[in-house]
Amino acid sequence: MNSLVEVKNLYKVYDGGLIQSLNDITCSLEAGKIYALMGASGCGKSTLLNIIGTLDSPTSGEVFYEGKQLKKVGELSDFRRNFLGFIFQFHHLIPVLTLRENIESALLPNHNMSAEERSERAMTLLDEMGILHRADSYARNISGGERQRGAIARALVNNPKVLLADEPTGNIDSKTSKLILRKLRNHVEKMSGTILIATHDNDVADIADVLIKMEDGRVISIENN
Amino acid sequence: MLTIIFRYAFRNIIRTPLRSFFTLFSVSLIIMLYTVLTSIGNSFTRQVTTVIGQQNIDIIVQAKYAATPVTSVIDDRTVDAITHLDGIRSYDSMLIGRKLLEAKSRIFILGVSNFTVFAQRLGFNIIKGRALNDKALEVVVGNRMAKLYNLNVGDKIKLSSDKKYLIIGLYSSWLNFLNSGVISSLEDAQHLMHKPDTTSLLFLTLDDTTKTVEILRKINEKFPEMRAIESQQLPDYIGPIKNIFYFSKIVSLLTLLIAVAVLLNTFMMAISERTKEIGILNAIGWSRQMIVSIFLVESLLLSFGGGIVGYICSYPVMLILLNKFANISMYIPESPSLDILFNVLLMSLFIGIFSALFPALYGSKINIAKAIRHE
Repeated sequence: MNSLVEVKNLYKVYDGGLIQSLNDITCSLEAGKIYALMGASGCGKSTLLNIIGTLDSPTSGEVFYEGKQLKKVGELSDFRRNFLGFIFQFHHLIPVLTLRENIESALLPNHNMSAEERSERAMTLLDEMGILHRADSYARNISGGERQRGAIARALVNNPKVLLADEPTGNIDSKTSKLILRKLRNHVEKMSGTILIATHDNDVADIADVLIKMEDGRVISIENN
Repeated sequence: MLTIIFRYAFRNIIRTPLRSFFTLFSVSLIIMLYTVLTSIGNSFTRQVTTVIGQQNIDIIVQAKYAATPVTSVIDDRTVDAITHLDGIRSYDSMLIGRKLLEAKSRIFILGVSNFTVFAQRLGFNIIKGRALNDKALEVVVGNRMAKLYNLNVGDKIKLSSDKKYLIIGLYSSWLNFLNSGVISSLEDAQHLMHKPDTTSLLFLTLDDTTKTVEILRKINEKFPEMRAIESQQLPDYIGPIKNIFYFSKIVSLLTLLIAVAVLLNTFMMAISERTKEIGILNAIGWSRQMIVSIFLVESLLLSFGGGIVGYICSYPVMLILLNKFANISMYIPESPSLDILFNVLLMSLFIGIFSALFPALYGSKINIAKAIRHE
């Protein structure tokens, strides 16, 4: 087994224990597989994604990345950039930057990369996502599907091994949705990475290799699809 | 990287055009006020300091309890006694006063014992006509005053109720306030200011400068109503110069605080509005320093923009003041100096950094997951 992410006995409580968002979660994400995280709204899917993505910290329990504890992965911002990619339900593109600049912005912290390299990589991804013609458009001037494809290009631009997606196809049409899922599958294969997708969408669940079902902050089943 | 950060910062500024405009406007206004007030203060201080801090003078004597040279009164007997002390090679005396001219504006009257010596020391240039000699009822007039009252060589000017004075020359000095004045012989000035047999300042040149301290002590002991000091120390004894210096510092400090408060408020609002963006930037791998740098660049663009606009706007404002307030025009320079521009740039840097640093550090510490959920 080649575990990229291992979650052990994860708990997350809010408001001094009044709200228990995650309750003893244990699971692992292996290389080359797509995981669909399913469950009703409020069951803790986003919280789990945030904690795995180091955007939030657990109340107790630990997350290991390629066998390493979080505190041993080094500078968190570097770790997020090099190892993790995020796709949110809403595109969350920076409105004052063009699509190309939005994608380049994820490469900015990489000081070894020249401006030309950044631009070239951003343009390649825009081309792959079919939105090259929108490279110099601002996010507010393009359609929802194009924005989401731009957001996915931004998540993929650093070739992260672990992609975390929260309802990535929640607000887009089925054609764009299929294109996105195909792109995500290609990425997993190319990078020997993994994707954890929180979703209600059966189309997404269908392409997943593993279904993780959650209820009231607990994992109730982990099944191969 | 800098290009995108600059573009990002610049577009953030124009994203809220009205707010940015008013922020820029406020900073410009504050910097303009600072520039104008400091220019006037500096001009006055520099001019007076230069006049009284002359080199080639070893000791200056003025009345002990006089706050300024204008209020200093030294009678002729004291002058005579001091200048006959051992070790004093030569002396010059000067009477300074102000006079209200035709109920319009106040001008400086400078009575000098030897015009050539003072012209050399104070950097007068006769630009038209001839220099002053000891002849009575003759004056030379500063170019600014000549312009203000449309005076020329050969004209007669009524400086007192009973006498008219012939203008024999026009002078210019790099000391602005002297350009708004009249120079006459010491005797004429004594008559004009109703101060017969008196002088304001006594300038002593010594035979041996190594004996300066000894002679200073001797004068101060023998003439307790006088204060003898080394010439370069005089500015420290003049109350208004010290006050103007402190006033200038207080204005600078207040300016800084107000401008920081204005920008700080703008950036606290910006952080609140862009919390989600900060979260996203964190999520895609931006470090805290990079996020802080965005806000710093924005703030510096606004503070430097405001600083430079404020500095430029101070030019017309000073010209207006110069034309509208003739009675204080002697203290108003025609333009702010370059060292004030340097101060403005330094202040802009300070304002930019301090007003954005706290909000940016606060913003960069926000819990990322919460920030992304922020509406």
